[in-house]
Formats: sequence, C-alpha cells, structure tokens
Amino acid sequence: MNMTLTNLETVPGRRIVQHLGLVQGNTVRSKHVGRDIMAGLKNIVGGELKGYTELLSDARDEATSVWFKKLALWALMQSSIFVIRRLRFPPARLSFMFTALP
Amino acid sequence: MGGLIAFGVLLLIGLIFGRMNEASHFSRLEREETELADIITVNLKTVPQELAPGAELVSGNVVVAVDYFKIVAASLKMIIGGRLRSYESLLERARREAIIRMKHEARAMGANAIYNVRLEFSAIGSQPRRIGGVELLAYGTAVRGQT
Repeated sequence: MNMTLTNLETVPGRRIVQHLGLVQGNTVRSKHVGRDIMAGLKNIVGGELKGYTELLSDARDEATSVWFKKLALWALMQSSIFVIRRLRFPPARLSFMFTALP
Repeated sequence: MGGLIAFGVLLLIGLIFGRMNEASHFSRLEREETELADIITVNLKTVPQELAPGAELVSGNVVVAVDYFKIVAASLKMIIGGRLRSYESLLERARREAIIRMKHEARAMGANAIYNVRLEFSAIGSQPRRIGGVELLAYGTAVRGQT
C-alpha cells in the first residue's frame, strides 16, 4: 500500500481517478503534571517549551494515524494510491490538554 | 515588601535570561537559515509538471514561552496601547524556528522545494487571559525538482 500525504491541489506524476470522501481524525492528549510545573517555571526565563512542542506534534501524528486506519479499509479493497489533502490543523485548547483536529 | 522583592527578582531574572535566550536563539536562526537557503518555500497550491514524481507532507512546530519581563512589559504597554515589541520578537522566533524545522524534515527526505506552505498559530496557557507561550506550526508538501 502506497499512501501519499500532501496538501497540494495536484500531485506530480499522479492523476486523481476517484473521490472517496472526507476523512477525519482527532485526539486529546496531555503531558504529566511535572511538565506543566516545569512549563510554569520556564515562563520566568523564556525559551522553548520542549514538552509542549512534543505534545502537539504527537497529537497531530496520532490524529493523522486515526485517518490512516480508516483508509486502510479502503486500501484493502482498492490497492491503489491514495492522495490525502490535509485541510487544517487548528489545535483547540482545554487547559493543558491539546487536541489536534486535522 | 516580600512580594515586591520577589517581583523585582523575577523581573531581573526574566530580563537577563530572557535577553540571553533570545540573542542566542536569533543567532542560531540566522545560521540555520543560511544553511537551508537552498530549499525553496512557496505558497503555490499547484506544482509545475516537470517536477519529479513523489510528494510528501512535511511539518515543523515549536512552542516558545514568554519570559517574566516580557509579560510585565506587555501588560504595561497595554495601558497606553500600540505595538507590543516584546511579543513581536517572540512570534518572529517561533515562526522562523518552525520553518527551519520543516526545512530540516524536507532535506532529510532529499527534497529541494516545499509547496503550499501554511502557518498555524495558537496561544498556549493555563488561563484564557494569560499567554504562557505561542505555538507555531509550519507545514507544506516537499517535492523534488529535476536538477
């Protein structure tokens, strides 16, 4: 199974033959309380909050993999190349938990 | 009195370490940007036909925290209004860092251009009215040119 993830209108070397419909995936994740306390301390000196960078990118990867599981079903039936157009990634904020909704 | 001393100490720590952090971050950004200058980033949605087949989504994100001095400086500036320069530099750092990380990912897969580059921004913090930091996400589709 060869799956390409892109946000282009067209894909070089490929032609879209069928529209299968919209897929979605979402997730809610949080870091442990230690990270939240460390982030509070980091607010004094500034700099990168590595824990939250990681948290948000993990959340996006996870939400994306939820799509892939849904797509795998189609892939079994079609054995073709899928082109997915990622729409947007707005993270919603619930205190110190983050959701990624691609 | 104790509260005032604590406030002064936090302000001083914020000023010194915040400035140091920012200066070293900016010099690193400068260096990495020149290193990655050969990867073209454009916001076009369609790619030229002569490009090699194969495209892959790349992204880079970063969360940058505000320091205590910036918080105080910004809240004072909000009384009279105008440009909040302390937050402007914060956003600039986050934006440039996110783009650099995206470019690193593109380079790792041997791409030399990124199309349809988008930026997503979100404010991070425990309370709705207090910003603890900003998150910047840059994403786009990495492609290989024929050269």
